[in-house]
Amino acid sequence: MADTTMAGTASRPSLWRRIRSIHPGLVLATLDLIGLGIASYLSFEELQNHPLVCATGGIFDCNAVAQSSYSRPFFNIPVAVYGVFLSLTLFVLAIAWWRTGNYRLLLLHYGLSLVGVIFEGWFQFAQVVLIKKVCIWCESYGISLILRFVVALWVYLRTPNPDAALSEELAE
Amino acid sequence: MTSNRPSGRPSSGGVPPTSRRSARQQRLAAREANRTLARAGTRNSGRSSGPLMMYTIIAVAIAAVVIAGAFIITNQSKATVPLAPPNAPVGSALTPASIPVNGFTLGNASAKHTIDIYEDFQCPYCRDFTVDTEPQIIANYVASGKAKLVWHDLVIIDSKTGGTESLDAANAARCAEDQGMFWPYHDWLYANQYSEGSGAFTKDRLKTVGKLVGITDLTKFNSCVDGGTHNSEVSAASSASLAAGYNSTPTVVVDGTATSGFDYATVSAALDKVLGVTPSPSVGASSSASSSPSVSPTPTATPS
Repeated sequence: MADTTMAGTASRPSLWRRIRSIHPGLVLATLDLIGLGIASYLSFEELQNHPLVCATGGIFDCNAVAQSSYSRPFFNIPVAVYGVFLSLTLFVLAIAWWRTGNYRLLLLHYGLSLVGVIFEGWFQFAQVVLIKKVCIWCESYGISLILRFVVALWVYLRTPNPDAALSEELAE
Repeated sequence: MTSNRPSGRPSSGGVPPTSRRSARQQRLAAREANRTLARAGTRNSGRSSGPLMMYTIIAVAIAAVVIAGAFIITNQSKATVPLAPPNAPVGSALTPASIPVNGFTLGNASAKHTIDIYEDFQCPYCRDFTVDTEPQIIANYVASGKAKLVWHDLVIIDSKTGGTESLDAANAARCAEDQGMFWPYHDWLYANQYSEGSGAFTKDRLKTVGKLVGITDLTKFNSCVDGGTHNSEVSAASSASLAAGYNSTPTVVVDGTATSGFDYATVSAALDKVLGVTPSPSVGASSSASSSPSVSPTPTATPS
């Protein structure tokens, strides 16, 4: 008997279903690319000693943050450069997980993004309390990092453990 | 029975649709059955929280080490970490070149009303004032000749930091004025302000700024900076400011009366009062994302 629920309806999946069908690894990779773009811009400008393009007013001043010693804690290298390497690594992990399905790569993505999120917390403190200025670009990067962490954690918690599933199959 | 649902998902749990069951009820039943199976699958997946906890602990440990290192290194070598080369001022940090200048006076020297500003180049609030409020004042009052802006040194931060950067910066600014470059130099200093006493205004950086600003006689300028040629004038000016009762920076004085604040609303209200105008809300000239409303005066009464 034909499925009456489908009678007369188009076979095209809903927009929500299409969104849900996107592999979360690609979602993570997209967020990683966004973070990579922001960190790359900051790195390029700061290494060239060019002023950053951003709105200033009140507590917001990207250049004051960029010029602060708190933005160059190690070897006088801007933290944005470390952000580039972090985003690049996360991007590679996301793509690798998408292609291989190895959930350990997802865990690694989660772990590294957690490191980044915690460091972002410290950098937020430095901006607000020590430098007393906030960088909009840095905030954007921080938001992308938090999103990556949340997505990775959410996906991991909802992804069945392939090792356990394999064990169950073998037991049967 | 056929189903167009994706493979791996059952259709209706084996219950044949009856003539009385609507298609919607059937879909709801199937959806609930799928959810139940998904939850069972998840619970029975055997996913252990062990790996997640392990990665979390390792990540937290790594982050703690990184942050501790950053904090220790930054605080230990804050005064000696080489700072980035000075950056050019951009946007609202630039004093418009179209405004006439006369030494430390910006605007028409014969303007009837005077806005005296007392600042310390290391003062972060002075920088905020320069970037946020001053451009609006210039655009709405100075450019039209209603008032002139006069700079005064009020060096007070050195006593807090124990250094001489405020004095050295003020001296260097006067050295720049010896060659008619005070206001451009003033812009560069605020564009390269770091935290107080952090080395932003060492003599080497002040000389570098002089070169970048375009001071023509660098030999004379550098000698002036190194020798503190105008230190006594800066000190005298600061003492006079303190004696006048101005002991915080920035202090804005309109026709001899200090304003209660240095935000644009407060300063423009004081200016409108001496000008005898009733302000009406309008868009200011500031290109910054300031939260303070910008107001420009609209004459509705007899000008004073």
